Amino acid sequence: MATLALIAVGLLSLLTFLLFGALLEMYRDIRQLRDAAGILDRPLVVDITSIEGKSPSEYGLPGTLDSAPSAILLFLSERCLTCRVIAASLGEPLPSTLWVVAEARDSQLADNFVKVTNLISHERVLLDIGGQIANRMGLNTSPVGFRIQNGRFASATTVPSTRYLHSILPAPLSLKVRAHPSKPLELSGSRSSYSRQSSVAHPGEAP
Amino acid sequence: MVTLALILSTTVAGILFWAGLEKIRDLTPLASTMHALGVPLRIVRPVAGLLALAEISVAAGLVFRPDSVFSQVGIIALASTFAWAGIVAWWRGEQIHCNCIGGMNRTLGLTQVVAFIPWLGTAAFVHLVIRDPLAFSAVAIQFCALGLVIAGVRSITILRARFEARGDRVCAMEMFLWRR
Repeated sequence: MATLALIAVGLLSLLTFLLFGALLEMYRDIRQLRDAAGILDRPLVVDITSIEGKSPSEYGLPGTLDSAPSAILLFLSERCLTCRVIAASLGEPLPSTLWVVAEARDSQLADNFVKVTNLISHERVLLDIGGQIANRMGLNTSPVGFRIQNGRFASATTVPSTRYLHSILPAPLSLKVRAHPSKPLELSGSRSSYSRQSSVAHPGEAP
Repeated sequence: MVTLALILSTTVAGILFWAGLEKIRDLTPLASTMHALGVPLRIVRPVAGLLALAEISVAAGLVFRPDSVFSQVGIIALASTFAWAGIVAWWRGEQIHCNCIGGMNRTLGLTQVVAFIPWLGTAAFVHLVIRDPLAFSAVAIQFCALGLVIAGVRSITILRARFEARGDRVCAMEMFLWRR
């Protein structure tokens, strides 16, 4: 009897697997419909004329941002459901170019927001109790992602989803210093030497 | 050694169950692959269905009767089919979607030919080590566990898709002022 029950559980599990596959197809169909309707990951541009070109520290943000070559400053609010979804998706390790400011009306709501979303504790995740930073910046929309370039506010858009957030995060680039100096390249008539030397195209030139 | 052979046969059975059930759920991608490989259009869907059933049958055989020659020969037959498909795609130089394990965007090629070796090795190892039928109670536990693992792995994908879809719905409601 127990053996037959185990076989039945196995069969039901395989049936559940089949049904899960159908459900996954439906989720993909819904995403395709949203994409076709133009409401999937459609950010709205935020006018930041009043703060463009200014340094983040002027508005109470950490001074480290003033020297950031490229970063995204994400504003979330405890009143916004999309913000909660994005906050819940943030995990360790936090992308190195992402700063998060979670705005709340008071400390109790801030604690509640952190608890509900399991918002990670990190030096680049700040709580803006009473919305002081947001008010100084004149921000009344969320979630909004500010692009910071060379330590200055450059642009801002709404952030409709975690997927969109990850697509706009700047990838940190740096020079790679070689451990040993390379041998100087010898110019010759061989094709391979010229192709190595001309691998970097100058602007206006064909590669 | 018997334990290792059972683990191998169960793993192969799991892969074949996953692949076969995904194909049964939607035959179109596999039919498309087969047509691209040269199977005539009028018989492509029945052939695709037969392949899916063959995978499920071999998987069931590996779980319930791993000692059976039919189960082991079934692995080799399927592996040969996959390798043949890989050779045809490689020979023609065409980008033919694999649709091997349901909807994955890999293409057929020498990968399937190389994979023939571990398939063959698994069949040979199981044939050499597992000589006698397993106790039905052990088989039942194995089948139950395999089903639960397969469903469990798929449920992780579902949960991620659900989380993403919920986020998109919430965002559309808030940002574009849609009401339920």
